[in-house]
Amino acid sequence: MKSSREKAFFLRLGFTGARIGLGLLFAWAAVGKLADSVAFADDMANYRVLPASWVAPMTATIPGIELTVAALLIVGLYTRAAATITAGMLLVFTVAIGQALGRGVNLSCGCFGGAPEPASSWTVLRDVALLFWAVAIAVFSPEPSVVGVDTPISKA
Amino acid sequence: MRILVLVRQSLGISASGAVLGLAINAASVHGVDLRRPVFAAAEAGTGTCTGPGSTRITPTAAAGLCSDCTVAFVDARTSSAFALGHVAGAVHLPPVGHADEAQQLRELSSKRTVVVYDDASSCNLADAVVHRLRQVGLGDVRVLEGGWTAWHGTGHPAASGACDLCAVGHP
Repeated sequence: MKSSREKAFFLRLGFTGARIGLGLLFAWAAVGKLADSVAFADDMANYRVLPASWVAPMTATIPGIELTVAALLIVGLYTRAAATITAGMLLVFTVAIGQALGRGVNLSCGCFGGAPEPASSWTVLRDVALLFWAVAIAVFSPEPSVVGVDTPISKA
Repeated sequence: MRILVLVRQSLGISASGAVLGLAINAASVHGVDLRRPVFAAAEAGTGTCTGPGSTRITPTAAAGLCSDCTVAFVDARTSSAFALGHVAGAVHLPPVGHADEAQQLRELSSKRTVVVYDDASSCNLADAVVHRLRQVGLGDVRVLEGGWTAWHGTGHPAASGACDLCAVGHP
């Protein structure tokens, strides 16, 4: 029979792992896009949801935001805000892929840069799962986390 | 009140991230030209890499040069893209260069014409390589209109023909 203190510790441990895992995933996605911005721009243009003149600026800014929230999630700083932005981005990605699939547009999702990855219903399911993951961190993540620098700030 | 704090923090982080992204893009050789529109492949008509920039050459004209051993093709894309498929006889030279670059540049200098290609709407990888090749003294350096997609899509040699024999590094 575990004590409530032990339960709380394992809950915090679980959320800390989830936070760091999501951060690493977004860091990987950002680095992949930055390594081949041109391919990412082409992938984004192929979604046909943005005016052509907006694609390049969005190509430059999205990996930067991903990298920033990834760093914050990994170190545990402004965790709720970083997870909220992550959830927002995942919602946009999911809708963008869903509408492309709905219109029958055949495209590479551009999710992680690098080698082309065809967008499919599996991609949508994966993004929905990640979306729930991010929302859970934003809403339910207990404080303090096992490893993270949010706690001293929230106590300040 | 906590919601307002969350919104304020989220906006601040997003803005900081956007600035970081723009800064990385400006500093990176892989960056995109922010002023250049990027069209979907289906809307681009003739394919990618057709905008203004370095001297262009059409795939048909470039294919005509393919049997000329004084012409070399340079692939400016990533090494993984190059490995998946490239113009027959092309050498791989991304804008960031690589370990064998000096040898390659010497050999390219012996060519009368060098055709550079990438697979981007903006041709910026190819343009960057053209700029570098001109800096080392190459005169006739051109960018392939439509890049790899147009070349491959129009059935020009990707793995056979005289280009293999004329490739840089071969007699």
